[in-house]
Amino acid sequence: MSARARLARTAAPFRAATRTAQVLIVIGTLITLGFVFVATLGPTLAPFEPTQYQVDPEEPEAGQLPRLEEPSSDHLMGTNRDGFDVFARVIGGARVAMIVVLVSTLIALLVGVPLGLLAGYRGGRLDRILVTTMDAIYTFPSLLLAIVVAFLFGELFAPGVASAASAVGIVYIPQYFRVVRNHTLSVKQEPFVEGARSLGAKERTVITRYVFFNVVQSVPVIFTLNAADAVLTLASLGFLGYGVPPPAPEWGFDIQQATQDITSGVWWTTMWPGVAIILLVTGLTLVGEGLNDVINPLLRARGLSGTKLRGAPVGGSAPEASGSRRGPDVAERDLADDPDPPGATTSTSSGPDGPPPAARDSLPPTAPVRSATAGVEPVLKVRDLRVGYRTPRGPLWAVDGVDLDLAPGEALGLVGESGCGKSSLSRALLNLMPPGGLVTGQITLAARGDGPGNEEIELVDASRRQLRSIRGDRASLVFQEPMTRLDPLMRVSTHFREAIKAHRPDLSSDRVRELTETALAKMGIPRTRVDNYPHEFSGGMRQRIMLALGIVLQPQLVIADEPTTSLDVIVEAQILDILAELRRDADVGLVMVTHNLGIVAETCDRVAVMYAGKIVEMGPVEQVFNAPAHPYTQGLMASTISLETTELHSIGGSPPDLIDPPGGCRFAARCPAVMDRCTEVIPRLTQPGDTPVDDHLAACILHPGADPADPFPAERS
Amino acid sequence: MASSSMRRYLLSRVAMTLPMLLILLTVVFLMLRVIPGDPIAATVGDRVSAEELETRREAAGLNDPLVLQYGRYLLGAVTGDFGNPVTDRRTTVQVIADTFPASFELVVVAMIVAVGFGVTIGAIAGRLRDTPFDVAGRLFGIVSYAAPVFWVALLGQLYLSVRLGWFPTGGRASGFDAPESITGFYVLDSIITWDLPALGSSLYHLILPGFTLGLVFGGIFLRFVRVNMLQTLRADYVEAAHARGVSERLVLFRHAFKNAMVPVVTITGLQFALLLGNSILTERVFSWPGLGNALLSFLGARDYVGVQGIITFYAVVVVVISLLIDVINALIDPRIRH
Repeated sequence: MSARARLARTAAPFRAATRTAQVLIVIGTLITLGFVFVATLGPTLAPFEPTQYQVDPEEPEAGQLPRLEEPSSDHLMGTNRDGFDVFARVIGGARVAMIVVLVSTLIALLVGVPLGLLAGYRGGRLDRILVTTMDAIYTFPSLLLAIVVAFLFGELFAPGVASAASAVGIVYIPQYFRVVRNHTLSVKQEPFVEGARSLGAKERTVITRYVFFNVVQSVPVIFTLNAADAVLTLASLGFLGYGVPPPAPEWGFDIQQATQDITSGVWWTTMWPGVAIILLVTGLTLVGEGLNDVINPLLRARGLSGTKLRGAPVGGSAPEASGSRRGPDVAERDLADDPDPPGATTSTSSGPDGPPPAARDSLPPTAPVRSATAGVEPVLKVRDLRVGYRTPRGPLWAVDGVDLDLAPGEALGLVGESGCGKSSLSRALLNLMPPGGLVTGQITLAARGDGPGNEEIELVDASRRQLRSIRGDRASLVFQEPMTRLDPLMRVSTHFREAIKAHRPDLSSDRVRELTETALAKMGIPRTRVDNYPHEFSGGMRQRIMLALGIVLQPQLVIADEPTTSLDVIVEAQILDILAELRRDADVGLVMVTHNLGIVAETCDRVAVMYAGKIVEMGPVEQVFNAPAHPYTQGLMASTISLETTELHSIGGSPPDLIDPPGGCRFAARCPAVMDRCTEVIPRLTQPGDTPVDDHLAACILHPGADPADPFPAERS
Repeated sequence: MASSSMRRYLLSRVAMTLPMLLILLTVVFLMLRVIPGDPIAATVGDRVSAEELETRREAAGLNDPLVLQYGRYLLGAVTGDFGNPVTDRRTTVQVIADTFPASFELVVVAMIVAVGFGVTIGAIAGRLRDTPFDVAGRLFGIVSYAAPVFWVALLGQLYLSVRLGWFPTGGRASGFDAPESITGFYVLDSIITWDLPALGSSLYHLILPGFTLGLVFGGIFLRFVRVNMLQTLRADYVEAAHARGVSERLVLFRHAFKNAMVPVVTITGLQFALLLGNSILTERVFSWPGLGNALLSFLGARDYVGVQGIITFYAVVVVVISLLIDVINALIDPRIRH
């Protein structure tokens, strides 16, 4: 890797950080560097020595510096009661602080790291004793510890920079100890340590090297935050008279000396050392916190860096269509920020984010989408759905123009590789977007019987209040990670009460309880466990609890995102049975998001195959699986394993980058049947010529009519 | 169901505390043995004759083998005997009883201030990530953390007490307002005796020291709560609650905020110990007759016995606090009880 590439990779998290985080880090770094500069060069630049009380040492008769003189051009920050120049002492204090910070860190590292290695490596009783000792030191008030140690070292040796630095450093030993010990413990269990040993390498060398490289990553954060703390501790020691002894310039001591000045109206002797401390500590903290923000993946700002998304992608990222797809009058707005958009909420062509009808008409019309049960009003109607996210590299359209219909009681399987947009689509169906996410197009949820709150609704343009009333009541989303989706601090029954009360505030507690127990009983969770906490259930049980939460209010639509991953086959079969029963008995429309084709074959009526944000093939499960019409579907089918499998296929290559998708068919780069034309036009979903059923569609120009330049087949126009 | 697991957790937690206390006490004991000379010689060595010194050493048990002294020290610490200072007529326990209530009152007020504004601003800043409020709140948190306790206290004393005369410059109560001493806690004593002037005076004297100490620590809470909110706000269960149509307010308070507070309770224990340590600075500035000032005067007099006694007491307090915090945590978070 070249030096430049290495640098780029190191800087990548910084560039991905939000603007605020970047500015704060830069400010902190500048302040800190300023102090480093002043500490190294400052004393030579300052007009006076910090302990100089004579104007010119060469001529002692020339006179002393005035005492307690106000700030002036001669003495920028005035002089103190000893006749020292305050500016010179503040600068000298920076050098003392830097030295103490460095020496104390060195001491903490020299003691903490070897002890951490030893404890982690040896384990057993030694480890337990060391850990408890370090915990004890860590819990003890750090300033008291520093005072006592400074006092001891002052008595044992002599008060000075070394004693003060040791006193400050001891406080930080436990932190370095802990980091090193934990890494050592974890690496001991790694198989490669075993491997290295069998190859003749010394286990200790391997561990030390591995721990070194891991710890080095967290050291900058610990170091800067400790340095900030060290500056404060040193000043506190100085203030109490146990720090660096006079006449060395030390901020805390100088403030202590100045306490008597304050009452007589002399403010400059107290003010400037204090300002210096605040500035340096602020600078160091900004750097440390900023680094933590950037490095710690848990804190990284998701969806907040990069340019804010406004409206749909231009022309669905098809270069040749871009001119015609977007009129000049397209209203721009960010749905996530605008709860109640003005204008028609259920326009038949598209929402205000989509292309206006006029622009749209110039496009080759997309093939009509049919539902399995012709003549029945679909429970869910999706048109030209796009889902975009903000990223530092530019907008990413994870779902790029999807149309589909779902009849009541119908199950639609949504399949594709990971990253193809299935999970984005499933969240978008409830308009549930993370910060920086945007849904455009049209999602229509049919009316549920009569009565207020049950009318047909357009979800893309719905207000937050409307969306909230839909979610969990008329449409439910069941997530894939059962272990993390329940609030660990809340009983299962409380989850139910919360969800039910959110939509039926008037129900009595008894009724809520009854609903909860019935829904859970249906999933095989006994009544006795209703009040348990999530951690008291197994993964399979939690998944069933999630499902029960999703259906307790009898929704019209259930979207299940990989509901059976991480479950064993028996639980999987139970859950699939429950879902099947649900749509048979309650006419629930089911969207089953999965990458498991077997589940689709077993439970779904129709299947939609997604690739790189687009549906490439859709139709009845039997038809699509037995006679796949799109090369991608064919590849998917070939790479599944069944009892008859004799040879395992896989699709070569990987999906395209969705921030900068290729023009034309997105599968072209991996397609075995690729033609020149494939990279030129975006194929539209059309009925393959040889298919016996009329709701089987594929987007591949192998089939007549899929090329937007072709005239429509006669029977379609 | 909860009570039996809770009892088991408590027992195991107490069992874990004992080794920590033992180690702390041992460290304290050893630390004050490495100093050259002995407590008697260090304090009065130059003022009394050699024979007198020897008798006093013998009487204080300093000529006994180290192991015996160690055993005696441990036994004393456990039975509540922290030794007899050389420079003070009172026993260490007496000194602690006289001064600790003052420190404790100060720390409690500071804690309320710190938690109050730290948690509120931190939680809102976390929710409003990267908005001007967040940036201003964070900067305020960092700067208030960066300001030395004693410096803020000094400036507060100068401007609010000396210049403006709004607050007293120091002490726990003015003139004869101090309540009749029952527990040593002025606020408590004046409530028990229903001595309203004393209560007012005590609270009035607590405001400035308490706020200047609490302000600085509020910065730490603010930063910590904010970071926790950032993490819980993106937790899977928060998204799941949104997906169930739970109102924004409930998701924020019941799920994100409550979960964000679990680690905050943990650091509150640590912060309490830190505050106790840092109150020494505030006590110094405001001439507050607390434990920190007592420790400083023992240190100044090189009274090792007094120093050891007070440090031992701090160690016991720290261990007790960490135990209490664990219990509170277990009450909030059901996972801990297992």
